[in-house]
Amino acid sequence: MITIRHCIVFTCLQLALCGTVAYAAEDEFSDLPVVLSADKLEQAPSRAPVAISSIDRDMIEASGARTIPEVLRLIPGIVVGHSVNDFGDKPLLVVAYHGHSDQYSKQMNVLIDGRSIYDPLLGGVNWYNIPIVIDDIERIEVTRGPNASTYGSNSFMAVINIITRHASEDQGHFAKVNVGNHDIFDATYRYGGNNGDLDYRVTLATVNDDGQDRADGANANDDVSSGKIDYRLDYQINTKNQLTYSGSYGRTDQQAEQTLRPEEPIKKPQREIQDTNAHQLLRWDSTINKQQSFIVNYFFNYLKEEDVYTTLPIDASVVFSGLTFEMDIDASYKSQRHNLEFTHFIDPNEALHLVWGLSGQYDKVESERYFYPVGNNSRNTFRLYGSAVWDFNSHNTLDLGVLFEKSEGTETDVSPRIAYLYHFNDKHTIRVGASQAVRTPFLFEQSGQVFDSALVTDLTDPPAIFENFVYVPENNLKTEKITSIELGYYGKFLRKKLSVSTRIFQDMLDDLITDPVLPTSATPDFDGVAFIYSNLHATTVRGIEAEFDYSISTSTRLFASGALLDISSDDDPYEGKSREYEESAPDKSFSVLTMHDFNEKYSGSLGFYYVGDMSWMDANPNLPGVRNTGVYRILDLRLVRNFKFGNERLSTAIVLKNLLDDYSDYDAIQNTPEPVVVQNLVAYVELKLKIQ
Amino acid sequence: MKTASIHSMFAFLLTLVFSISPGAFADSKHHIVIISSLNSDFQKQTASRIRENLEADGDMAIIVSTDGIVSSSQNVKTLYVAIGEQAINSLHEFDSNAFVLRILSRSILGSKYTSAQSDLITAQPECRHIQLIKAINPDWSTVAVLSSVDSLDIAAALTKCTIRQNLNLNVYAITDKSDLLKTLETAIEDNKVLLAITDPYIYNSNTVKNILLTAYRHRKPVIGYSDSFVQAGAVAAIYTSSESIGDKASRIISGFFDNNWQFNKNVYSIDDFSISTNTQVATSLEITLPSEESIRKSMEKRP
Repeated sequence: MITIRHCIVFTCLQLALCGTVAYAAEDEFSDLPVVLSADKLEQAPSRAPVAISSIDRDMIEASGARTIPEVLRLIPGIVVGHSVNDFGDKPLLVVAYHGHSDQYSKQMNVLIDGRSIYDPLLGGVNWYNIPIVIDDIERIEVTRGPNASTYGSNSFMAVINIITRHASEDQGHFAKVNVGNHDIFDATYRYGGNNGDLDYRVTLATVNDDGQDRADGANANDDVSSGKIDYRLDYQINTKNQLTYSGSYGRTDQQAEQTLRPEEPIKKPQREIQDTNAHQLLRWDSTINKQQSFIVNYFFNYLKEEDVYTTLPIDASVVFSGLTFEMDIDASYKSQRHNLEFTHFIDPNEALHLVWGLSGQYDKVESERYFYPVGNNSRNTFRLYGSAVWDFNSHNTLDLGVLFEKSEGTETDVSPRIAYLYHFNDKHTIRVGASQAVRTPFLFEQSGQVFDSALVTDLTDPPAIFENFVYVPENNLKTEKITSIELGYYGKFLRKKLSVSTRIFQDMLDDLITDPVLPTSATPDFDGVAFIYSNLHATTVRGIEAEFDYSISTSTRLFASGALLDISSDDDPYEGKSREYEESAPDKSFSVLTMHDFNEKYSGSLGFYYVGDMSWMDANPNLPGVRNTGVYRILDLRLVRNFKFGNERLSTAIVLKNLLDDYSDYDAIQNTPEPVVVQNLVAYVELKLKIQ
Repeated sequence: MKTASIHSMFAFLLTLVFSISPGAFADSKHHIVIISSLNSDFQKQTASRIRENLEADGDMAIIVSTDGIVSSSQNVKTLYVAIGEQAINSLHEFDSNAFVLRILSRSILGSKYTSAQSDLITAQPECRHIQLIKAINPDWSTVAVLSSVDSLDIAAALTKCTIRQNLNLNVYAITDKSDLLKTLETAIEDNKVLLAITDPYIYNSNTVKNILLTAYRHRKPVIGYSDSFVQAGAVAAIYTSSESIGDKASRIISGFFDNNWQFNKNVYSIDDFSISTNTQVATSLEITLPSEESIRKSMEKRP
């Protein structure tokens, strides 16, 4: 007697078995998984509504970069600095586009696979501590100019979008070791495998060096040591649905120099600061049909900094003549970000491409020091966005986008974008665009409060209390605003072997947030001055940027870029903050990277970088006309020898960086042109092994 | 071994199901069972098309079955239409002497034909793929093809076509799956376009991710062999649509019944072709694709 239950059991069993041997029976009728869906595609420069630069895997390797910022020097308008940090904070690698930046580089959004990683407390990114391994990166796309409707809030002056490789592309074992001067020791191990429809990879890495040197040759106290693990799983549920799960955990120990600035009243000691960084991401890509697809994306970011110290002796003359006192400070903080996003791609026809989406984000920071006396602060942000690209014929494209954003504590902001592209043919395109974007104040800017207190004792007098508000919040802080207009050209020459991208632009920035020292009455008992974040300044940035990518032959490639910039402020020139803004980017900068394969065994690359003089916004005060970061030139060389043994590929490389004069890319000693620290010769050997 | 087990189970289920559904064709003149795969939208669309055409034509009882869910009666004379390799193998296990129209990409080597069994070959002639490449971009002068032992005949036919079309075709042999990625990298680096061919050893739902991602990373286009391949990320493909297959199969089936349960030919083929393009991938690769209509016209002009 056959029952329905038996039929179901047999059918299920048969289906399950079919699944395991499906490939053997595949033919041209078989459905294939959607691999290159709309969101995974790189936007062609000739179709983009804004200027986009792309650094591919070959360029990353050829640059010899050990950290991501090093390779970003190839982008026109981007400047990279190493802050040894004489404020007494940890040293940071700083990436800025068109100036306006101190060590926290607040006006730029940085994403890894669509996950925004800027620090919710202070803004910026600690590039030493992001848990991503440079060998896992597929490409880096840099949007030059605001593009909030595509990338979300804080996509203000530029967006750096780091795209990692699909797990299926990294199958087998991979190991890399770098050993060199400056105590360089980096090691990476990656394993990638698959099990049916599941592809996975796990990467372990450590990066270590002793940082920069003082001008006299002594090693600066800026050693960095980091360890990280990151993993990614891509699971093809069926031909139209894919799940991606990734996670990471990293820890970085950084030396912090003691406070060297004489004007700082409270001096921090030399110490070591520990940073922890972790994330979890779950993403569902679904293709509904030829016209529609969507993505649901959730991620969680976690940052923790441990920084507990006792200050250097503080002059207590205001309280007791001839005495000093010390304070115990816990400047540690923890932050977390939860973000849930839905994006829907619709192509009603071949000429029209629509995208809309919405997202919610929750940021929370806990810190006794930065949020006195509450100890924490949090914020919800909601976004609704959309864009439309209409190719109304083969020559004309109209691109529109808009983002509505509501953050707690600020007004609802609207960031629109419009671009018109005229394609003369498949080789030449001009672009006219205008866009606006906002930068929401970071949690510390919005509501941070720092309060110092100590009990000062004297054997003969009763103890006195030292109390001081260092930062107090401004209740009506607004978002920063940028309005950008540009005229761009993208062309291909020499049988499309040479691509040229150039643009002339003007960015108008308003309500810029700075932290001047202002009188305040933070409490009824306190009557003094404190740092107060305020919307005080406006600037205009004008310039020209150009990028050339020339595949001279199948074995030789040349990439070059350059930027001419002029920043003006509405204040009197060369006075106070106005001068800081105007000098915050070099007037000119350019870079060249050449790559050549001599034969199957040998290849090499040469990078040259020129950066004009400038001053970072938190640089030491200096004399009029003196910019703290003088003109510098960098020459890097990388020579590679490849070996093949069956399925194993081994390569060794010698990397020589800073082959020209020593230079400083951040700061000078107060009122002198002498650098605080210098970049000098870096030499290391790289050994790579890949077994598939 | 697993495949054999599935075929046995499939045959068992066929036997099983006829016994619980007697009389399904009791009042009908011609009885047809169309077997397709549950996992393939393309096969299901083809089956639906055949059913629609035949039901419109006349007095036929048709059951469309996916995998093991088949209703028939052993006591009734039945024509089976098996779509795809999996259905064909399973049906062979069930009854090797049944009346069968087999719809498959390419002829199976060593096939023995009778008047009760015939093949409808759906693959496009090799030269059409080369014509497609020429029609999309005449500057694509070097074409890479990955081939295993199962598809050497296709590679050979393509080579003949490229000589006529003044193209340089480079065939890369895949003898071991572990060599696929390395060989693919070389093939992509050394050629302007990768032409995918129907070879499940190389192209299947497990490998297509790597192939498309690797080609995309090198900014090289892939020409596929099906609409599904284009949806996956190939720039274009020439293929036989499910509608064309369904229409052709319907005509063959009508002729089969008109000819007193005998096929006129052992092997049928299809002249019609469809073109599919992926403008998003092409745009991202900065390839200007002609419209599907102009590609078609360009191909129809070519010899």
